Amino acid sequence: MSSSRNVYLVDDEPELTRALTRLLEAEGFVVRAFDSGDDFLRQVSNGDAACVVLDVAMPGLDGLRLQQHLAAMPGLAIVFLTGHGDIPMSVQAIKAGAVDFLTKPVKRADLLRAVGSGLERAQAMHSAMKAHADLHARLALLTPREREVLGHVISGRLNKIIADRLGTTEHTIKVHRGRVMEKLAVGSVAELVRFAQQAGIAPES
Amino acid sequence: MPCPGATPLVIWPLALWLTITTACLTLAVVHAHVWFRNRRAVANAAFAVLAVSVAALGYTELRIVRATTVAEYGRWIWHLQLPVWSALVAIVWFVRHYLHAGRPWLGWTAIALRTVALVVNAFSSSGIIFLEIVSVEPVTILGEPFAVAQGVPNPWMALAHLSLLFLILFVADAVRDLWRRGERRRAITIGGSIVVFITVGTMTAALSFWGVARIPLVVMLLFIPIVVAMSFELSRDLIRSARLAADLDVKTGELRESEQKLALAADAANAGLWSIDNTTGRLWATPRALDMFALAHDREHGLDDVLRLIHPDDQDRVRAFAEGAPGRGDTPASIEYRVVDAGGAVRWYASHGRTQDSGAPGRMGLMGVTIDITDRKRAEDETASQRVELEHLARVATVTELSGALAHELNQPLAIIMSNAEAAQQLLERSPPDLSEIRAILGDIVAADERAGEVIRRLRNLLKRGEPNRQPLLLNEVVRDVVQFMRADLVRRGVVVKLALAADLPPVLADRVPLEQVLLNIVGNACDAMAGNAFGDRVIGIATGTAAGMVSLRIHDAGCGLPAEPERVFAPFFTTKEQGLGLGLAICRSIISMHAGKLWAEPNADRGATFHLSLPIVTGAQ
Repeated sequence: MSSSRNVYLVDDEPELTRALTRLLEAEGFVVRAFDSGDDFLRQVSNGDAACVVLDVAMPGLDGLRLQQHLAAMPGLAIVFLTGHGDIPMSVQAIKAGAVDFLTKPVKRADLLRAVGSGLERAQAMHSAMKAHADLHARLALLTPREREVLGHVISGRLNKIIADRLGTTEHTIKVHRGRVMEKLAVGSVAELVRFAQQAGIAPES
Repeated sequence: MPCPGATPLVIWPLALWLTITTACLTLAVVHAHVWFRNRRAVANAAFAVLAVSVAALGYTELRIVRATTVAEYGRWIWHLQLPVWSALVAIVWFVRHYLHAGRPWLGWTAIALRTVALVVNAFSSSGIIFLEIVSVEPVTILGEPFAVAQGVPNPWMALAHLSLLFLILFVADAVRDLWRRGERRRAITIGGSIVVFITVGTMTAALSFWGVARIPLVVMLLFIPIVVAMSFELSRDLIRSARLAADLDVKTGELRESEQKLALAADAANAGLWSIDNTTGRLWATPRALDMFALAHDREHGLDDVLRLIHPDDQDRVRAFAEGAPGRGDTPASIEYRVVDAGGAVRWYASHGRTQDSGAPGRMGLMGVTIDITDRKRAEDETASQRVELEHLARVATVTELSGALAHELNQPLAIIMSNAEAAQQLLERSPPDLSEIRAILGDIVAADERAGEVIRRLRNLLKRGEPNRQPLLLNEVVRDVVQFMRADLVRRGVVVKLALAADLPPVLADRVPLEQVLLNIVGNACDAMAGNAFGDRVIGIATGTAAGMVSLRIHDAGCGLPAEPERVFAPFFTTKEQGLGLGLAICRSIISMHAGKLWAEPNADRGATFHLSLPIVTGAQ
C-alpha cells in the first residue's frame, strides 16, 4: 500500500495558498487549496488520508472550530498555521489532536517536517482504520458456531476437548477450525491468535 | 439865493443824521469784527460795508441838505455817488452770500451799470445827476431848512436809475426764491425792506433830480430800515452762534470726559487707541498705542512708521488692512499680526478698525484699537499642541490595541514572500527550471512586499506626531483603507463589515490620519460592543452618503448599545472597558469638530448603536 501524499490547504488568502502549493508540489505532494473552512467541509470525504494545513484566523468558520468538525475523520491530520499564535490557543489545538502549530512566516523545513509527520500520522491512522475494518469484515464471515470454535482454539484447547465441551465429534471441530482459518486467511494457530487479539476477541473459558 | 428864515445850523437833522451814522458805524465795527474773526462770515463783511456806506451816505446827504451854494451842493452830490455804489455792491453781495438767492446776472448787471455810472460821474465835472445846477433853495420841513437844487438833469442819470432798477429786480427775484424755499420771514424782512425802500428812495431821488418835485435828498433815511432788517437777521445768527458756542462748551466738556473715560478703559484693557487720516497719512495714537509700536511721544508719525515694526510676513496684510478702508459701516474689521521689537522678540497684536467718514468730502480715516494678544496666542498654541499630543496618544493606544492583528497583517505578506522564495529556490534546482513559474512567483513576492510596506507606512503615519495636513479626501477610500487595515483584527474577532458606500461621493477637506483614527476608534468600539454576540452575529454596517452640503457616514452595530443619555459616550473619561481611558470618543469628537463636522451617536431601534459623522463638502478652489 503506497503512503498518501495528499495535502489540503485551507486559508482565506489565495496568495498564501498559492505560495504554499508551489512549495509543497516541488516536494511531490499532491496539494488542494480551499479558501474557507466551509468550502473545505463541503468537498472533503471521510475516507481520505491527508494532512490539512489550516489557518487559524479565517472569516466564517475559523481553524479551531473546523478542527472540531474534522474530529470524525481520523484520516485527516491537522497542522495549524497562524499569524499570531498565543499559547492558550496552541495548547487547545494540540489537545484537540493537532500535529503541529506553526506561526507565519513558516520556514520550508518546518512546514515539510510538520506535513511529513502529519501525513505519517494520517497514514497510520488511515491504515489502522483500514486494517480494523478488514478484520471486522473477515470476522463477519464466520458463523456463530465457528466464532465459538475460534474462541476455544485461541484458548489453546485441543480439538478433542473442544468437541467434548461443545458435545460434538472431534472431526466436526476439525472441519470448523479449517473453515475459520480459511475465512480469516491465516495459516497457523499463532497467526489466528494474533488476529483474535487485534480484533479484540476474548478466548472462551 | 439866500433863503429867508433859514438858520445855518440845522439842529434836529444834524442830531438825527449823527445818531444814525454813529449807529451804522457801530454796527459796521461789530460785523467787521465778526468777519475778521471768521473769514467765512462774508455776509457780515457785506453788511459792514453797507453800514459804512450808509454812514458815508448820511454824512454826504447832511452836507447836501445843508448846502447853501450851488457849488457846495454840486460837490457833495458828486461825492454821493461813491457811497451809493458801495451800498449797492454790498446789498448784492449780501443777498447772494447770505440768502443764496436771486439770479446772479441781475445782480451783476446792477453792479456793472452802477460802476459805469460811477465812472461817468468821476469824469464829468458836474457829476452824473445834473448837467448844470441852476439854483439851490431851502425847503422847510418841521422848521428846518433843507436845500433842494434845481438844474438841468444829466441824461446819464438814467444809467444810475437803471442800475437801481436792476437791483430791485435782483432782490425781488431773490424774494421769490426765498418765498418758494419757505424762508418767508427772511423774504419779508430783508427782501421786502430792500425792494420797498430802494424803490421809494429811487423814486424820490428821481422825482427830485428830474425836477418833478421839490423834495430834499433823504435817501439815507430809506436805507435805515434795510440796515435794521439786515441787522436783525444777522443778530439772530449771532444769538444762535452764541447759544451754539455755549452748547459746544458743554459738549466739549462731555466729550473730554468721555475721552478720559475711554482712555481709562483702554488703558485698563491694555489697549492702544489710534486713528489714521487717509488723506494726510498722519497717525494719532494714545500713549499706550505709541508705546506698543515703540514710537516716540513727541513726534508725528505715519502709517509707514508703524509698518516698519511689523513682521515681514505680515506687512502686506496689515498695509492692506490700513489702506483698504475696511469695515466701512457698522462692522469693524479685525486683523492679527506679529510685531518684532528692537530685541528681535516677536509679539502678537490684534487690531480692530473701522473706516470713519469725517463728513468732509474726500476725507476718510481709519480708527481703531490695538491690543497685545501674545499671551492668548501662546495659550492657543499650547492648547493646540496639547490637543495634537493627546490625539497622538489616543492613536498610539488604538494602534496598540490592534497590535496583535497588525502583527498578523505583517506576517501574512512575510509568509507569502518566504514560502514563494523557498519554492523558487526548489524550482531553480531542477533542470530545466520552470522560468514562467519563477516569474509568477517573483510577481507574487513583489505584490506581497508592497502590501507589507503599505501596512508599515500606515502604521508609521498613525504613530507619528502629525503636522496638520488637510487635503481633499474621498471618504469611501478612507473607509476601505481602514477596514483593510483592521481586517485581521475583524477576522480574529469574528466581525463581518458590510459596506454600503455611495457612488460619486464628493471629496471632503480633511486630515487623513486623524480621520482614520476616528474610524478605527468607532469600528473598534463596535467590535467590542458585539463581543458578547454569538459567532456569526457580529456585523458592522458602514454606509456613506450626502445630505445638506455634507458628506455623511454611518457606522451601525448590533452590540450592547448606548447609555440612556447617548451624549455621555463623548464625555472625557467615560468608559465601559476595564482598561480604557475613556478618551477615545472625546478625542474623535474634537477631531471632527476641528474639521467643521459633527459626530453623534443614536441607539438603533432593535439593538446596538449607530454613530453618525458628517463633514463639509470641499467647495471651490481650496
